[in-house]
Amino acid sequence: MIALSRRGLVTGAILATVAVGAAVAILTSQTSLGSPRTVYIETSYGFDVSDKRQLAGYSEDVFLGRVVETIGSEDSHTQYSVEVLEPIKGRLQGTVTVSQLGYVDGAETHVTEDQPLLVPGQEYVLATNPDVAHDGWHTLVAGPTAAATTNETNRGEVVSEYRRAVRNQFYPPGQPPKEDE
Amino acid sequence: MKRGFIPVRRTRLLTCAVVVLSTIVLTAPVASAHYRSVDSVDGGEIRYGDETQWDDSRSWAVSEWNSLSGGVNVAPDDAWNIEDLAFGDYSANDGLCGFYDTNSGADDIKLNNSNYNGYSQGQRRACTLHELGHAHRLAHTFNDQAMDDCPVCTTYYTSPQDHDRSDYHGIW
Repeated sequence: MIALSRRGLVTGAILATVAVGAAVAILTSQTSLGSPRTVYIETSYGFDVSDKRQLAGYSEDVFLGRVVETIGSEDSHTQYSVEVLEPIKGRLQGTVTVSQLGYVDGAETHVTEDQPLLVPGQEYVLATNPDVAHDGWHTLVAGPTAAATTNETNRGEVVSEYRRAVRNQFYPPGQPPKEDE
Repeated sequence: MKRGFIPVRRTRLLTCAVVVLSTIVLTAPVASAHYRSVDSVDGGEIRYGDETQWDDSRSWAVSEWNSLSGGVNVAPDDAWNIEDLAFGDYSANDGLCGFYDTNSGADDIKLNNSNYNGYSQGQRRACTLHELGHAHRLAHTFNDQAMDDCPVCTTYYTSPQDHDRSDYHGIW
């Protein structure tokens, strides 16, 4: 027999419960048990998308915008109506349609790990190219830097950062020329 | 027995510890850094449908992963098997060479024509090999591996490298 203090026993029980609960949460978050779940789309990049200068060089348009609403979904992509607040590269203005890889399918949200689905009402700096298959649409470039959230506090700083990237932009080495829309 | 202390059988204490540790350990592979939590493998096989125009890279990727002994058999779908994976194409200037998506039906590998049209044969093979690696539950790893998250950025690999193989054999 071992003599355990009551405090030690209670502490141990709490820690064990937390550990098991965390393990079960990990397991159930990755299996379908009827509740909403996130499915990660594995994206394979053609260039270093974390480098904003390369992102700017690859993108025809970089702009500050506010997502108005979700307007459709097609071929693993979701389309949004986005109000252009301030162009940073290019001359977009007014309200445009932005198409992003990722979609909601019933209880499953399919999303890339590096770029959450755009949220209506949220402001972003977005990097896009004209969609090759749909006239008037703009394809959101994949990756962690192509959709940077902004708010009243950081907007100026984030926009300045992307302006700097545009000034120093270069086309990604090794990336084939873009396909004409 | 001192006040405030509770006698507990050693065996009972050890049993509780084993149960807690086992629960944690059994869930660890699911959340491992080099593995995804899902794959396209069904009964030791991946049966694929082919709607990609990039046949050379598709057949190359299939043969490369199949060359790893004792693992998964990747083979074309037929009338007697359920399709686990569909190879297809899309076109977008989105900065991707391709992507892999799991579905309730057949999972998808989508190869980006906008990049593939400008790639060399080796680059196409490298990207398709990479996507098929995801179908085997492999996640992104190191820069000098086929499962690098930027498989055709600078150096590219048309065969599974050391860590790719060890990760593969770690689960298959």
